[in-house]
Amino acid sequence: MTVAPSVAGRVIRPTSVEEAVGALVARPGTRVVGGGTIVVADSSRLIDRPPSYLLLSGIPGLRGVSREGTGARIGAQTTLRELHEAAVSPVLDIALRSLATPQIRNRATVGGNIAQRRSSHTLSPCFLALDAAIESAGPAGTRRRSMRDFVADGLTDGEIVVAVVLPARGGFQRYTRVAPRNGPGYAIASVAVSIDPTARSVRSGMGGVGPTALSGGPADDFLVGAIDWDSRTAPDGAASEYGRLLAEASEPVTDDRASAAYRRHAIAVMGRRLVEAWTEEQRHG
Amino acid sequence: MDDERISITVQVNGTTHQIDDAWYFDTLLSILRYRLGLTGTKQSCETGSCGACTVLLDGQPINSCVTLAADVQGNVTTIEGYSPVDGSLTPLQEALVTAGDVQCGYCLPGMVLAGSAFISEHPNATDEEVREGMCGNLCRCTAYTSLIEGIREASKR
Repeated sequence: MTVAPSVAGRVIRPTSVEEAVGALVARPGTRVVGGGTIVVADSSRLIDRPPSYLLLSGIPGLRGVSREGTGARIGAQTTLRELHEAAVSPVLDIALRSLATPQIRNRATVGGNIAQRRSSHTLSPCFLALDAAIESAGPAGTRRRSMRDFVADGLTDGEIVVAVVLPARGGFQRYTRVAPRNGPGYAIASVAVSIDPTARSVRSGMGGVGPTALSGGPADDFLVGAIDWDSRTAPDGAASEYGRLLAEASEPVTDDRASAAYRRHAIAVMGRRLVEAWTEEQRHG
Repeated sequence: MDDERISITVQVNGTTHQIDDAWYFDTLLSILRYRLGLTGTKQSCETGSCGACTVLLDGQPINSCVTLAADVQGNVTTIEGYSPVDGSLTPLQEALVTAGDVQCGYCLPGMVLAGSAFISEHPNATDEEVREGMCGNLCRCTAYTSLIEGIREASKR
């Protein structure tokens, strides 16, 4: 038995994005492996034993963070550790420290964390708050769309995430969550927010409270209008109202980890506290 | 089916091994334990949660249970490769023994390897840094206080 034909059969390791897309189209059911931390655990637990795997590790250029203008471009194969070390945004710095363990962060990738749009995963709410764009490649070619569109529509068959592109965004950025403990473990509910006083823009993302990560929507619009951008203050009640609107935009379900009512309540509280934290930061610098 | 078997080449503790009849879904953990006989690496949760299967890949700790064996590039260090061949202990292992961290022992190969990577990046670590840096390793004996002490003391050496 030789290496090449068997590897080409069940484990495919392409060396270009085009080759990867071609292989995925030719072999339906093939599971894409970024770092493998999700798909291998699913295989071991017999949740998912796909007929073949496609490894992204052999494609040069998919891995690493580069500054793009005043923003950043994050290759899909960048590990979570590498993203943390690149220090591209305060919200990611906080979120990545709470994301799983050092062992997982050494292996798991940015693309893998967002590709399946699992609601409780950490990065999608952050990328919503950072107003990111997603570059992907599929049978129809390469496209770039907003993170909002990506969480709504996801990937088509044979399509892979290529990069996450972050625009320049200053000001206050924060991620917070409720989870079973203050260590590794999926968030029961999470909120990421970015309040940029220069752009006079608010962007929020929520995790764990819908079929995918959700954007703040009306809550963001409310806060943009409520904040006095010249004095950088928010009127009394604005923090609570923002939290209430976030909770209203959430679509939580009851599962074995928490009830829908608990999740909705947690979102309202976290939203209020985030605006209170922003207000405090404006006062004290 | 025959094509579920593939040939895999892995470098472990500096030696290159070829396994010609691996399953295409084999994990690095299953190759280490059941093909190479390196049973120091422990099998436990198999979901990347507990850290018992921790090995070093080019010096960085990873969970071998959620790593596809066919997707390993680089040198894997297991507890057999980390420990001195003459049976003596490394300063980190000594520190964990002195702190009283060695109880049932099941988590220790993973603890030691994760700890070795941690102290190489955190000289003179604080207790808070140890807590955060070692959060990927669980101990069913709950010897966490002695773990923190042992890692903290080892980071001073």
